[in-house]
Amino acid sequence: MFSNLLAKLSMSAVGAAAELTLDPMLKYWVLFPISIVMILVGVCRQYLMVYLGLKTRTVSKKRLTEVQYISKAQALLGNGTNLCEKSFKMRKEYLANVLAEGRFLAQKEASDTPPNPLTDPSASDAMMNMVTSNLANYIPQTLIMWWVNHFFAGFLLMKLPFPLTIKFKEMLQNGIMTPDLDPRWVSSISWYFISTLGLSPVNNLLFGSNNDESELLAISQHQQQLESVPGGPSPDVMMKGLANDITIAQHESCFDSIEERVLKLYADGN
Amino acid sequence: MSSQEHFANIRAQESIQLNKKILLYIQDGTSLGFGCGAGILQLEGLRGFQFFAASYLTVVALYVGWFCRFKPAKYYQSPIQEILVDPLFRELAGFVMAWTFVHALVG
Repeated sequence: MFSNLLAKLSMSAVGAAAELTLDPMLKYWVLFPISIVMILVGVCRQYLMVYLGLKTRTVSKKRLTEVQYISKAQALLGNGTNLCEKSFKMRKEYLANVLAEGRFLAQKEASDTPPNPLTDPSASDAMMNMVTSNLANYIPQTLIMWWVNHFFAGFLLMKLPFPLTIKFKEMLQNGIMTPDLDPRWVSSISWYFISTLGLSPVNNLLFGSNNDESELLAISQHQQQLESVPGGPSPDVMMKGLANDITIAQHESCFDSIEERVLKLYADGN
Repeated sequence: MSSQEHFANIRAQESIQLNKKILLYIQDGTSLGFGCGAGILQLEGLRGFQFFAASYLTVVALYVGWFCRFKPAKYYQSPIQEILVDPLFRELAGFVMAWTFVHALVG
C-alpha cells in the first residue's frame, strides 16, 4: 500500500518535471515581438545598406583613364577571340605600345614613401565603408541581444521540439535556477539564437524578388576597382605585366572549326 | 584545357547566377513551408529531422526532374555540390526555425 503510494508520488513528480504548463500569453507577448523585431531589423538593414551604398564617389580623370586602359587590355586578352585577325593585331600593337610606355599612368613618378592610408581621402573612404557595413551588422545584433536579455529574462518561453545535450543548459536556460530541468525547455534568448540562424531564408523570400542587392554589389565592385587598394599591385607594374601578356598573345578566332562544334552540339541531342 | 574545348564550354555568368537564385528561392520557400508543416504536425526529435531530410530530398528530386529535365549538369557546373550540399545547412536552419516557432505556437 505504502510503496504503491510512493511509486505514484514519484511518478507524478517525474511527470510534473517533464511537462510544464506555460502561459499561452507568452506566445503573443514574447515570441511574436522578438520575431517581428528581428524581421524588421533585417528590413531596416537592407534599406540602410542601399542608402549607404548609393553614394557616388569622384575620381580624377587621369586615374579613370589609367583604370580604363588596364581594363581595356584585360578585355582584349579575354575577348580577343571575337575579333578578326586584322583588328586584333591593330589593337594589340597599340595597347602593347601604350602600356609599355606608361603613357596614361596617373602618377608618372612613384613616390618613395608609400601613401599613408589614414590621410589619403580615397583610402579612408574605403575604410569608412568597410567600417559602416561591419557596424550595420554588429550593432543591431548586440542591441537585440541586449533587449531580449533585458526585457525577457528570467522565464521559460517554450519547449524545443528536439532534444539537446546538457551543455546547452547554461546558455539557453540563462537566469533560470532549476538545475534538473530538461534542456529542451528554453528561455527567450534561445529563440533569438535560432532565429538569427534561420532568418536568411526568410530575408531571401522577402527581398529575393527584386534585384537590388546584386546590382548594388556590381556597382560597389566597380567603384572598388577605381579606388587603389592599399597593398595591392601598383598600376605601373600592372601595365607592364599586361603589355608583356599582350605582346605574346596569340590570336585565335572563335570561328575556327566552328562547324565541328556545331555538329557535335546537335549530334549529342542536347 | 585547349581553347577549342573552352569555346565549346562557354557559360554565361548571368545564367549561372540566375539558376542558383531560382534554386535558392525554391529551397528557402519549401524548407520554411515544411518547417511549418512539421510544427503543425507536432513532430518531435528525430522524426522532425527525418521529415526535413525527406522533404529536402523530395524537393531536390522534383527540382531536378521538373526544372532541369533530369539534366542538372546542363545548368550547374557541379550539380551535387551546388544543388544538394551547399544549401543544406542554410535550409536546415530555416527549417528548424519555422519548426520551433510553429511548434511553440500550436503546442
